[in-house]
Amino acid sequence: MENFFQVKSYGKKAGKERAEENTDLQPWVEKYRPKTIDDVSAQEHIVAVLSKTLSSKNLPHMLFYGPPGTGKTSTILALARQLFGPDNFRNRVLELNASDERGISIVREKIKNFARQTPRAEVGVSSDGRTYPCPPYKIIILDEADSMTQDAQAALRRIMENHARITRFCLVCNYVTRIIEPLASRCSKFRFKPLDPAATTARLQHIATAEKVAAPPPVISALISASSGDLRRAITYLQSIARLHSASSTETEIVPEDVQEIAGVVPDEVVKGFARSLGVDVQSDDEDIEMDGDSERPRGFDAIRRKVRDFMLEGFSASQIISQLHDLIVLHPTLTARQKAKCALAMAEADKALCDGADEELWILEVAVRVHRAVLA
Amino acid sequence: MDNLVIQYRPRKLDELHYHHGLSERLKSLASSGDFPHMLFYGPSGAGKKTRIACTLRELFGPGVEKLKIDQRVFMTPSRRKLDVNVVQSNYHIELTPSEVGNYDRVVIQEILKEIAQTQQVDISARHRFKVVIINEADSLTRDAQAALRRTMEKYTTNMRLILCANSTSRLIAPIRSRCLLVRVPAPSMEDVVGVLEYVAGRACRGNSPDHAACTVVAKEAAGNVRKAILALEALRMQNPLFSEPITVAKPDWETYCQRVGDMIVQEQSPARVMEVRAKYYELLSHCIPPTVIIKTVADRVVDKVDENLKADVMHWAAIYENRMRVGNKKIFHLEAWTVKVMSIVKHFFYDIDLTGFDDYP
Amino acid sequence: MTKPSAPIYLPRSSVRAYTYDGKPVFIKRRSRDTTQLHPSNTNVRIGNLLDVPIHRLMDDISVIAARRLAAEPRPAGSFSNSSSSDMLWVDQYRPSKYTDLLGDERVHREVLSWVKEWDECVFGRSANTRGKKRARDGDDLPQDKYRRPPEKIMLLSGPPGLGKTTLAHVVAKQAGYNVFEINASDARSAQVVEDRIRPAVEIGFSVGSTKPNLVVIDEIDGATGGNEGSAGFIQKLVQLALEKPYAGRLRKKDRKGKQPLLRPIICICNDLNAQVLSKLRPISRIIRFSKPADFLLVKRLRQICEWEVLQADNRALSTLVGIAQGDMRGCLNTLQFFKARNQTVTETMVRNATVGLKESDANYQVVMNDLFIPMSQKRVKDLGLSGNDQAKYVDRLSRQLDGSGIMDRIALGCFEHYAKIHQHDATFTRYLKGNDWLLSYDTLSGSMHAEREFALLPYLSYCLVPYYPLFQQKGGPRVERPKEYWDNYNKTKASEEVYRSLAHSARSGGSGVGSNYRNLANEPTLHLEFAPYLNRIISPPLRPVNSQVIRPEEKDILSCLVGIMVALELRFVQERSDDGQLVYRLDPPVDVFVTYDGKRASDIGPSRYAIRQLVATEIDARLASKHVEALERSKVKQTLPSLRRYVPAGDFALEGSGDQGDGALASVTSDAPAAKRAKAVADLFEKPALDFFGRPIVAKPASKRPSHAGPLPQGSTESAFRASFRFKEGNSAAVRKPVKMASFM
Repeated sequence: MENFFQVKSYGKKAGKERAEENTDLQPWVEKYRPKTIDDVSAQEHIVAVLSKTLSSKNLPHMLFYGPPGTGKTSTILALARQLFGPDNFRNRVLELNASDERGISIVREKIKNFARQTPRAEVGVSSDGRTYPCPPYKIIILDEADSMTQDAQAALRRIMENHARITRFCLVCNYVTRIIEPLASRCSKFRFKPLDPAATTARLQHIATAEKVAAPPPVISALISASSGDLRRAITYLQSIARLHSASSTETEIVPEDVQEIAGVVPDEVVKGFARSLGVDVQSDDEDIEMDGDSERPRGFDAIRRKVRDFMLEGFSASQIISQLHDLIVLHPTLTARQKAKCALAMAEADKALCDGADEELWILEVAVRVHRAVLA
Repeated sequence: MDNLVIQYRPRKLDELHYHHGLSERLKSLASSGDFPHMLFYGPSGAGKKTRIACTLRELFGPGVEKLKIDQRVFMTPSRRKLDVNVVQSNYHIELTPSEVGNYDRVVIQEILKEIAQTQQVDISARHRFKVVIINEADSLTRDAQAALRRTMEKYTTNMRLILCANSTSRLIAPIRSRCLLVRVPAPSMEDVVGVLEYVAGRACRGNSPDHAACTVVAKEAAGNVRKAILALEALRMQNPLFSEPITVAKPDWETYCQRVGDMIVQEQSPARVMEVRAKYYELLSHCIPPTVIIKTVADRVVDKVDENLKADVMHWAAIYENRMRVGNKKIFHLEAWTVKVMSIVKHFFYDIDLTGFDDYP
Repeated sequence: MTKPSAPIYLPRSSVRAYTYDGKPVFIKRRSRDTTQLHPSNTNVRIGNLLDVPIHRLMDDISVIAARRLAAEPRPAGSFSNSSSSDMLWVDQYRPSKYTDLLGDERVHREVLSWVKEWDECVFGRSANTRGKKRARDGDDLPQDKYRRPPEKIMLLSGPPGLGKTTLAHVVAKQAGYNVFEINASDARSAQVVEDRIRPAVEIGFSVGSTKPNLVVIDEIDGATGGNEGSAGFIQKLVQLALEKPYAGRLRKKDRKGKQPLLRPIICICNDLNAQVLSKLRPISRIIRFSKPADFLLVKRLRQICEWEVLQADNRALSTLVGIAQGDMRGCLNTLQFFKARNQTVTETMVRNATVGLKESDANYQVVMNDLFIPMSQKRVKDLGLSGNDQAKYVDRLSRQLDGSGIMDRIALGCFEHYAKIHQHDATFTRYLKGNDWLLSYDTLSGSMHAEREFALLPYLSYCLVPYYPLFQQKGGPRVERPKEYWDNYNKTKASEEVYRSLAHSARSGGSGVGSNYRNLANEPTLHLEFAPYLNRIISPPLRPVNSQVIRPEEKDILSCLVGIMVALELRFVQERSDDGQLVYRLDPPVDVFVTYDGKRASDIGPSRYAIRQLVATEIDARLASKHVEALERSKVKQTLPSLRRYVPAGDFALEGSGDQGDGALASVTSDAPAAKRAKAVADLFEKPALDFFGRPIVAKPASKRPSHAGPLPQGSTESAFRASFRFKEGNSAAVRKPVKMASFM
């Protein structure tokens, strides 16, 4: 492990082959994880605050929250690495995530014990020849903290206060509301905002060129829209596409449709066809209006039911269909606000039901019928 | 000699009968040496597992078919023992964590940690990672899914995941975003007929069913290849010469559900409620999932009632089905829906005002 | 269950003399010895009776009864009147001898005959039992070095309270054994087998007793439903039973540790299909218990009532029996309860008292009545409510519901009761409301349990209160205990068990045969697709003909069918139905999945006995050949010499009368396959057919062979037809007579 880090960080040229081998099979998400906090995309405010701590050596407890794929985990890992350097990283940082057992017993034993230890004397110069600030405290990173139980969170309260001198906590979560108030109030909160397309584009393009993938702008924008601000998803999709294309025998360009297929997005035409059969007036860019000419006008319940059943056989995800249908209807130019509201209400209910695990077919049908009624009314 | 579904199951990607584009892509992925986590999704009987098995073979060679079947015991923090059936070869391990219900997180954590921490020792292995196949991934609890998400990133050197699910709706977004999604749609009618003809041609020497017979079977199966082949097998046993008329057996629970639907439409009275209840009990005791019951009965009712009522019947089916998930006693919900439907039908019949039902609460 | 120590009932060493029908042959000791030996014994009266012949016993009883009748001062309500009244009747009237047993006599006889099969091994005295041995000698096969029956363990199964434990005890005593019981109070672990059972069967005798041990393991399926220990327990037990006799003999000299099982073991379970028993089932003789006929129970109860001077009319007793559903224990307890209070039993008393027969739920009744029946004036007075309070029902009822502590059952009760009330509700308004409340209850309690959110508990009761305004009615139907739901629950559990065993064999069976069924073993697929179609696949319309005259296309189907059934470990097991007819039952019973409302699906033809028999023999043949092949591959050489010995004894092998299809012993003509075939024949000898008395049946060779069954052109090398047949067992004293082979075909 030590070795690995050495090779990778300072012998960039000497150990290149070695590093190549190691990173080749790595997901790009890991490979292009920011090494320093300055590399973190588009979270200028947070980066600015945190860089100060690098020089002042003082760090509060922190609570990072924000939508997935905005760089929360990356930021704290990069920060810790910069603070402690590769040598001390392992004994100064404890990272726990949802895949680890994090019941109350673990909080009481593992976390408490780690928090209690006084950090060893700092080493000024690290083995890679660089100097790290190495402040006299440890960091406990609780990733995905919103999936911790209430009890476990409550047990953390005292630990955080008692060992504040030698231990800093960093909670990372998506939903700040799932963190109990006493815990949240002990931390300074950092909100990670969804990435703006410009930053994402830049990052994606950087990776694409580094990996020698030809990704024309339409593909990048398709990636961004499919991943809705989640940079990790965008990178994963990019890697998947690159894999598919580098592997396939025929040399073809990457097209936006590939992105959609990989991201599980229902093709636009299919959604439009569905909407049309519900009686929503949709302008199609293609000429196949003539083809479905007869299906343009809805023919009652049975027709809708048949359509829904076909959908299920195609294997599309219900929540995906509903969210795309939602976009289509809410942005529709001619429907009245009242109609849109009715549709949105139906979809909201369906989304809740689907989250609870309700049957997909029944709920798509439910949405379809209600949209149909709303539009005709 | 043997069951058809098994015997003629394709074992290589090249042997698959439909979705050739998909097979091509899987093949190139497998041969590229760089293999992502994958999520196969699609309706039941579309061939997800067959494709997974073929992909594995493509990845690791025929050694992957040497299977060992095990029952593993896991221990919950509360010291309860859990038995899980595990199928594994030298290169992969396959499990269905939802077998243990709410404790699936324990199983996921244990297995993944174990796999992730062991290195492939076999030098001749083509890849350094092992593959973990998780069946019925959509019925994993939230906890288990949360346990998966970080592991998927952390242990990529030693492990790849293949998830198999009917739909992606129930999977949390972080998992979806970490996987390469592979949609396996149900085959078209012609595809199913093709598969059936192939299988029958190989299996029934001499008197294989003609195209028409296959079409009948395929129509009944509605895109579910496994069901189609099982039905064909049953047909072959019952009617070896495939002589006319060909009747495809429906599963018994389906006919039974339809009878229940008919009963609801025919009469609406307290006595009928009791009769229907007895039928529901019978179905439940045969381990038919209540969701399937309510859907099948509702389908039948919808076929029989007036056009104006159809939407309402389905609406309430959706509502009650959703509530049923939280509740303990499924029979309450089934009956409540039945009473609701009966009342709707009755109101309509007597032309009592329907305003209460037009507006949804 | 209290178990009196063994020597109480039976004096030592005299039991051997009893035969099946309970007729004593010789009596060595008089009973007085026993009583002197055990003066501390409280159960003297019963113990004494045992040794007395039946007519004397009857006399004694009548004398005692008469004396008691005369002596009893009949002080009303006094229940210290006789010495025995401090005993539970259940114990007092527990059948202590074979002829006292109630229920299906065939079952009893079967158990007894199995225990008797051990005689040779345990007592080593088969030679002097009259006449039996003669038929057996000569070509008697040394099926077992220790002359034990083929199945070393007996498995009794049936619902509780039918007398399985009693039967085991009685039979053991009848056959002259000392009962060594392991019951639910003992731990279930592999350790117990080692520490307690093994010594018991190896030493063979208890301390201070001359009688050999018979081990009874009660509730082997585990009261808690198969927790961790029980699997190891069963495993060990199976191991114990299977220890090879020959290996045992060799080792016996060097180390004392591993001896073969030399004493009978009887296991008792409620659920035969329980997962933990799966390993035990194949090696044990399985007996299913069914409920004894009601009239027998009534008769017995009436007798007891006479003895106890309790006046009971027949109607009261039959009501009691009906409610108890064959549970004799429950009946007796209830009767004793009456006796404690007064001298007569009437139907209404029974009805009232049996409310609490299987579980005490007076509480339940009260709450339900208050929910569904408006309060009577009397009750209002009792509770001390004013007219105003009476109208305020919400508070009162919710408090009552909360206090009952059985809210779940009340909810079920409401569910089952509301539809029985005949009220005019044309628009279903009330029904809808009632259901809405019930659903709120269910969702609340569901999420309460799922998320451990017990803060919801106080709200639960309010969900049930609305039943009062909605459904209260004077003089409505009686409120009953929720039964349907639990019935259904039990049925579901049973089917789940069957599914599980099917899934298990689909998983493991697939790997053994090289095919792959495990993809069908996932739950929804199994329930919805595989199970229904499987039943159609395994019931093809075959004609019930001999396998040699079968048409070729039917032969194809047959071999297909056999292949599938073998791979999925499905078997046809011969069994006796309630009315005494032989049937072939599918095991595991997957046909329940096409049976709705007790009827099979219409498109599956009724499976005839003859067909199932045909299939069953084919399966056996296929299995045998598979077994042989496996053996063949491993040790061809070792088997050959031993074969020589068996081949001349091939009386059972009627050669050439059967076409084996392409299954068992197919189309091979070289020498090695011939050996293979002979080995298969030898396999059969391991399990000889038994007659009514448990002796191997010996076919009289030449005389019974039907015209050599038309020797096939291929000659004897083509195939060996093996026919095993047994006498039709039954109640009648079976008489052997020569039978033509043709009548079996």
